[in-house]
Amino acid sequence: MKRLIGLYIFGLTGIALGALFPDNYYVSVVGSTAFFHIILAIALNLFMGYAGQISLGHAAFFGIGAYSSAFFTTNYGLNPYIALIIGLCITFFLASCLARPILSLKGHYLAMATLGLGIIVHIFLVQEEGITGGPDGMSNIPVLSILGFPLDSDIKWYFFLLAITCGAILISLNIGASRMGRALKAIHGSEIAAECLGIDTATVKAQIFVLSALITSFVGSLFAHQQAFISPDSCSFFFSIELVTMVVLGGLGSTFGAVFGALILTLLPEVLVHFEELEVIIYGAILMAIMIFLPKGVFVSLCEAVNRRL
Amino acid sequence: MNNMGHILRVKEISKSFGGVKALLYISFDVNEGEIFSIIGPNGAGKTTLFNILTGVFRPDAGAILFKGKEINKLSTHKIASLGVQRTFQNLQVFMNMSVVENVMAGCHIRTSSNMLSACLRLPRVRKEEHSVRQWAMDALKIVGLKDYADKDASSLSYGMLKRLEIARSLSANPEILLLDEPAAGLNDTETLSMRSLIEEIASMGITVVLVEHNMELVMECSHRVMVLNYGESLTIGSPQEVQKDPQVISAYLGSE
Repeated sequence: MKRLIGLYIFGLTGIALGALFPDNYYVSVVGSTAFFHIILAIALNLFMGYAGQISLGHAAFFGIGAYSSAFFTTNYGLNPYIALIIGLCITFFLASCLARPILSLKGHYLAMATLGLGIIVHIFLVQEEGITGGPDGMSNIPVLSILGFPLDSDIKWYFFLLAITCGAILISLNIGASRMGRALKAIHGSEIAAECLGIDTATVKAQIFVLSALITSFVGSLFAHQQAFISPDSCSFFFSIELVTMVVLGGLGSTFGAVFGALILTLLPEVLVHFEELEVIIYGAILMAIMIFLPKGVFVSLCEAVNRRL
Repeated sequence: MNNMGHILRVKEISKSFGGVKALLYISFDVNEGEIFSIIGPNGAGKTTLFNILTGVFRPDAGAILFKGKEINKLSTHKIASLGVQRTFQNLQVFMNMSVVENVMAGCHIRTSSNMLSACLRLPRVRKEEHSVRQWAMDALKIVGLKDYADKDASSLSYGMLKRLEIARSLSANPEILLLDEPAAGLNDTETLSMRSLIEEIASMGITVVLVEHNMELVMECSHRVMVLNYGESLTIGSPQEVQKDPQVISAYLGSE
């Protein structure tokens, strides 16, 4: 099917790399990190790219998921899946309560409100040492098992995350080509026109905010288990910004744009390590160059260029 | 015409912004199936009236009945879902979507799949997508943009965007369509085809309320015309009656 061809290419490439180079650091370790970033970027793209809103606080939901898993498995010995679901419930409650008041704001004001959310959650994680372990974070998070098979090696995580990523891409593509996807894009295009077409914009925006937050929390829980360790640094304001950068860099509103953006931002530091102290400067220069020459994002701009040639 | 024939009844609507009285006790009825035009100089309150009819603004006083049901306290999307559609004076096309997607977005109220079933793309959703695309193509055919279905909306000319907005409203299956200056910025040929499009829409049984500055267009296709001036309704009548009204002539053309 033509609609899903990108997903097939992505999935098969992922399987091939994993099967051919199971012991390669760049595949199993960097690859797993890339998958985490891809899912997070896809989740944020639902909210930012499709619906045209902005969130500078998505790391908060990532943190809630990660810390729920860490807290309930290490302190109470709960099953990781129950801990994960508790994390989802907390995220659902928080995101649902905040959605309507926050999303009545627009543009810079929405950015400020979500920024506040991210910072409050981060402060909580740093300050509440009794619960979160403070700046030192929490360690000894147990290994996650699927149907009795423990995910105890990098390559097992790689394939597990590849499957989850494919699922996230599928969901994102499905939403994009549906009534709700069009409602989201309509809100992006013109909120007043969307409302006049009978789209309940406040509800649709709240729904996609909650869905995006839930996916982010889910990834946070998986991340905690994969790393066996979580600290407030992993869910700071800078991580929120990094996620926004991924979505914008790849191309707002495009699922594979989010995939590309996440891949670039994961791989770039790995490649640039060889430049040592120049790393940060080159990293910044590349990002700036991309935004200047491909303002719609890498993937979207490339697609347009190819379309013009055809 | 009896009450049953009034699809829209506007009773004593007033609206002010700060000290500016945009509308003062406006009352009129729109008959089912007619083309009802609202004319008046710039700043007469025409677009404000549309914004009140669609729930974008709340009237300070008065009532609006659509098919006998009071709608002036409903939210915009609720009013739209009852069958009231509109276009915009300053285009509000979704530039981030293709032409056909714009029109498919217009089918929102005719379909019902939710976020969860969209995620999973249940068979119901696939079936719905199929009919939505068909409805959208039908609407594009009416406005003559069928060949541009898969183009980006942003690639269309101004005149085409005006027609695209109409197609988007039509795909919602409206009972009443509010057109806000559909001929503004169009050249003579485009205006002529806009006129036949408006007449075609009316012939489909859709009631049309038209705000327009092009007098030729208004006088030739309207059944009745209301004249607004500084938020007040000067007169309502057939195009011939309105053209002869001395009040209208002085307000519109300036008195000698």
